[in-house]
Order: sequence, then structure tokens, then C-alpha cells
Amino acid sequence: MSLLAVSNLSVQFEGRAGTVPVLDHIDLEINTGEQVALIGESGCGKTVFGMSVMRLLPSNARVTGSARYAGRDLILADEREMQQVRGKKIAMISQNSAFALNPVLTIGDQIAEPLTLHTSCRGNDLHREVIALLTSLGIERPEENMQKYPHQFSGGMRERILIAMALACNPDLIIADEPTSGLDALVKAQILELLRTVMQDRTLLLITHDLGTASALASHTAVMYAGEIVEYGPTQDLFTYPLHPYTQGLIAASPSAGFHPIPGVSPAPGQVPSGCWFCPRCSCAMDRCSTVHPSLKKTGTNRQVRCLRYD
Amino acid sequence: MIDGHYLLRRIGYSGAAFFVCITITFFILHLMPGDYITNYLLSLSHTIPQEAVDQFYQQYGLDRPLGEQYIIYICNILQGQWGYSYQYGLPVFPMIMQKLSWSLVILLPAVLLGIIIGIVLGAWSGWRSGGKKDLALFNIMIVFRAIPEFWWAIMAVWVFAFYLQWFPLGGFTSISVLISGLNPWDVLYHAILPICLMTSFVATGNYYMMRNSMIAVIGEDYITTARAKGLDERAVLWRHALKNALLPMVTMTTFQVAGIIMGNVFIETVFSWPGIGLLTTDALRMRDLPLLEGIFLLDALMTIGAMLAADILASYLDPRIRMGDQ
Repeated sequence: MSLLAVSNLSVQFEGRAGTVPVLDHIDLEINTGEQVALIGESGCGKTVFGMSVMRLLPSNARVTGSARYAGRDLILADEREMQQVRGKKIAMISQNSAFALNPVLTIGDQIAEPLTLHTSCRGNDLHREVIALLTSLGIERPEENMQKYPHQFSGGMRERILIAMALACNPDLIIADEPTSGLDALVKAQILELLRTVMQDRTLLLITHDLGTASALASHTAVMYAGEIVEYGPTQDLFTYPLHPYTQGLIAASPSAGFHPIPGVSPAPGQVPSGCWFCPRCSCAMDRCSTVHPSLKKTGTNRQVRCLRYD
Repeated sequence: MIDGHYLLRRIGYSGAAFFVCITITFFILHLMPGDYITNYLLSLSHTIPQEAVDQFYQQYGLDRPLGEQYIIYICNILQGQWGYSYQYGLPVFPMIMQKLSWSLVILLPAVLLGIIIGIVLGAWSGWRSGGKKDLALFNIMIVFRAIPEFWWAIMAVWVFAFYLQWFPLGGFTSISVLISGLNPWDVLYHAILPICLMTSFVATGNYYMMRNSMIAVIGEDYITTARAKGLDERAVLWRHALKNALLPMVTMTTFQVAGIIMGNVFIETVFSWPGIGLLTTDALRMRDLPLLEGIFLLDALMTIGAMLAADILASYLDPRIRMGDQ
């Protein structure tokens, strides 16, 4: 059953220099119990996608399309409705744990905040709840640590705190934006293991540029390029048999495959070529590719790909 | 918070800074061209008997070498002797205190109110930065600030005192003081206009700083985190943004409070207010060195004290600052 159904979602930013399109007609369905990864390089619009579902984009963003969740369209919901969704129904694990926690509040206060806001949990119950959360995320001496401030923790610990904050109200969907950015390899492996355990029977939208993180956590993966989805499928299939040349390029560029870079750079927002957006960098481009923009097509039983070769 | 040893060391440094300050002040003042006799007395009369001049130099120890004068000065300071004014022949410290208390009548309420108003308006404006109301307020503040203080003071006197006659033209009390004695209400009546003006000047400065600080805080990731929890805008502002935005203000406002000690020359001149700003310019013109040294000594004390206070205050507000942590 689909928990969140995003269809035709486009985002544009209005600036002094005109309107800049960032997301283009995104369709993505997340079913209950699925972990969907959204992968792509920096600047392709992954984070904007998460923020537009949460309705946390700045005021100069123009969002069209729909994001249906529990019978309503989040894009049309008013601010008060969204405040009831954020943190309670859909929670976010923000990018960059070093800056995502308020430096002047204790972590206990910050974890308790969504609970006081969305539940009737108060006083001793609240205290116990926070301790239980910290313990379940592997933070030792929770009684003592909840009195501390963010700067007193290491990057890995802060990441655990952010995860605890997101899990506090037991939300239906968790949006995790680069949950392992800025961590060293060992800590990253620990956080990934922890996320895999806690996300096992939860619904997750994982936003990442790291293929390893995606394959470790996600049941399904969507590949984004220049603001549109170019390929979608079950993670294992997608990584074993990548269909789109861009996905193939991404996998070939990963360290284990020998660091083969994709030639060229991705187009700046609003300056996409006519035809297929990936065409100028594609090694197997055909004549048609520079004129016809492919649509996202179903191939096989559960794969989707945006490439003329599969038409 | 603060480690005791560190605090002691900090106080030690402050003492050292104080001595460097008064040493520099002493030498700069004594190296100024001209002195009380040549600058002032000679302009009044060309025939001062040589004996009187010699006696003046001898009486104030000005005939001794500068180094010796300095040592005597430091010894006197350490014993609480601030010296005697050349012009008035009175002890310096009570003179300064008397003028200072008059300055404080205007400056203390003005600086405190100005800081509060500036911070509140700045926080509001920064929180709505880019909006129409913010831009309107921002531009009003720019115009207000771009025109010098004394022009506003003269305009205020012209409009409110001369035309509308709501307030007196200047001075600190009515002539009736000669019969009925000093009346606090009368002083307040004279002080309202300068207080309002001074409050606005202090408020504009703090407004800019607070607005900028707030704009910087709004862009931080933890504000997005707070919104993502489902907090409404008011809670995000009060719980998450305000305290962070106030942190850089602590140092600045502490210095402003310390700066009261120097008075405000413009306001005191325009309103003929007998404050310490007027006393300072007066003493400078007359080369009244003991008086100047006394004023600057007090200023050094207050500023160094304010630095210490700002650091201690900041360490209580910002958990990341732990004074003494290595």
C-alpha cells in the first residue's frame, strides 16, 4: 500500500535572475515498509525533494504537483496541518549533524521537544522516554549524556542523537538526508548498521550520493539526474543490472569498480540540453537522443528507466 | 562555566591591561603641545608674573623630569589620590563623580532602553527579513543613522522645545531651583527630550547588529531541524533562534553600558547638560591634565571591567564557551 505518493512534483526557485527549475515532474511512490533511496550527484535536487515533501523550502520556491499522504495532499496542506505532520507523521534526519543540533540546548531537551509537541508525555514519563530512546540508539550513560550540549559529542554520537529525535514520535515515514555524511569509515559502518536495525520495519526515504549507503539500507532505489528521475527499481536489481547509462556510469565510478569517471559535468539548473538531458555525456548516445526527451517507462516487472534505448 | 584559576589569571591580565592603559594615557597627555599656562592663562592676560608661573609648575610637580612625574602619578593612583584640577583647584574624583551622575540621568535610561528596543526591533526585523515591513523599518533606521546626532538634537530642540514648547530649550533645571531647591520632576522634565534622542541613537546601532545576527541564525541547519519537528514559527523563534542570535550581542551591549562613562558630547552640548562629556572637552581645551587623567582612568577601569563581565556572561549563555577549558 502506498504511504506517500508523489506525482508530477516540480520545484522552481524564483530569483533575481529569473526562475530556476530544480525538480522536474517527479513521480515516486513509497509503500509502507519500504526503504527507498534517492541517489544522484550533488545539486541534482535530492535534498529539495525531501524538503518539498516536508514543505520546508524557502518562500521563493514554487512547488507544483502533488504528494499524497494518508488521504491528503501535502503540497496543498496549510501550515498548521503541516505542523501536525512534521515530526509526528513524517520525521527528518537532517544532513550534517555538526550544524543540525541547536548549540545552546541540551540534547535531552532537543529529543524531548517532538514528544512534548505531539504526545501527552510529560514529566517523569518524558524523562524515561528520552532515556529509552537514547539507550535504544546505543548512547551509553543516557542519564548523564542527556544533560550535555551537542558540541560535547562526536560526529557519530550526534548522528545517533538526530536519529533518536526523528524516531521519538514513532513516525510513519522517516526522511534521512545524507545520514552518514562527514563520518569516518568505521563510524559510518556503525551508523549504517544501526540504521539498518532501526529502519528494518519502518518506512524510509533515504537521500544520498553514496551508493554504498543506498545498497546497505534501501529496498528500492531511484536515480536522479539534473532534477528528474532516470531510473527506478529494486536496489539489488538496479545495482546488478543498471539499465540507464547514467546509473551504469555511477556504478563504474565507484571505488570498488575502479574509479572510472563519467566525462563532462551535469548541466546547471535551467540549462538542460534539448533531447535527453544526459545525452552530451552519454557513451552510447544515438542520433535521436539529442532531439527527443525520453519519458520514464516501465521495463520488465518492476523497473523504470528514462532512456530511448529501452523504448 | 568558569574555572577559578582561570578567572584569577584573567583578573591579573585585566590589571596589567589597566596599567598599560593609564601609562599610555599619562604620556600622551603630557606630550600634548601646550599646557594650562600657555594655552589658557596667557590667552586671558599677557602679563603673568614669572614667579606665579614658576610657582604653578612647582606646585603641580611639572618642573620635575617626566619619568619622575610618572612614578609619583602611579604612587598617587595606588593610594587613591587622583590629584587636583588645574582650573578649579578641586580634587578630581568628586568633580568627576558629580558630573558623571548628571550624565547618568540621561545615559543610563537611554542606553538600557536603547539596547532593549534595538534588540527587540532587530530580532523582529531579522526574523521577517526581506518582507515589506522589515525593509520599511530597515530604511527608516538607515536614514536616521545617516544624519549626525547633533542635527537630530538641534531639530528636536527646534520642533519640540521652540515651536511646540513641550519641553524646555536646554539646561537641567528651571530657574525656580533657586527658590524651591532641586526637584526631581523638574529634572526629569528637562531630561526627557535628550533621553528620547539618545535612546533612538543607541537603538539604531543595536537594531542593525541584532537584525544581522538574526538573519545569520535563520539560515542555520538547526532552525530547519526545529521546523522539521513540527514546531510553529513562534516556538522556533523563541526557543531556537533568539538565544543564539543574542550571543554576539552580549559583548557589544556590555561595552555600550561601559561607554556611558564618557558621556555624550553632542547631546550634552546641544542641551547644555552639565555632564561628563562637556567636562572632558572643557578639560581638554584647558589642558587640565589631572582632570583628563582621572576621566580616562575611570574609562579604562570601566572598559576593562566590561570585557571581563562580557566574557563571564557569554560563558553562562553559550555552553560552548567554557572559560579555562584548554
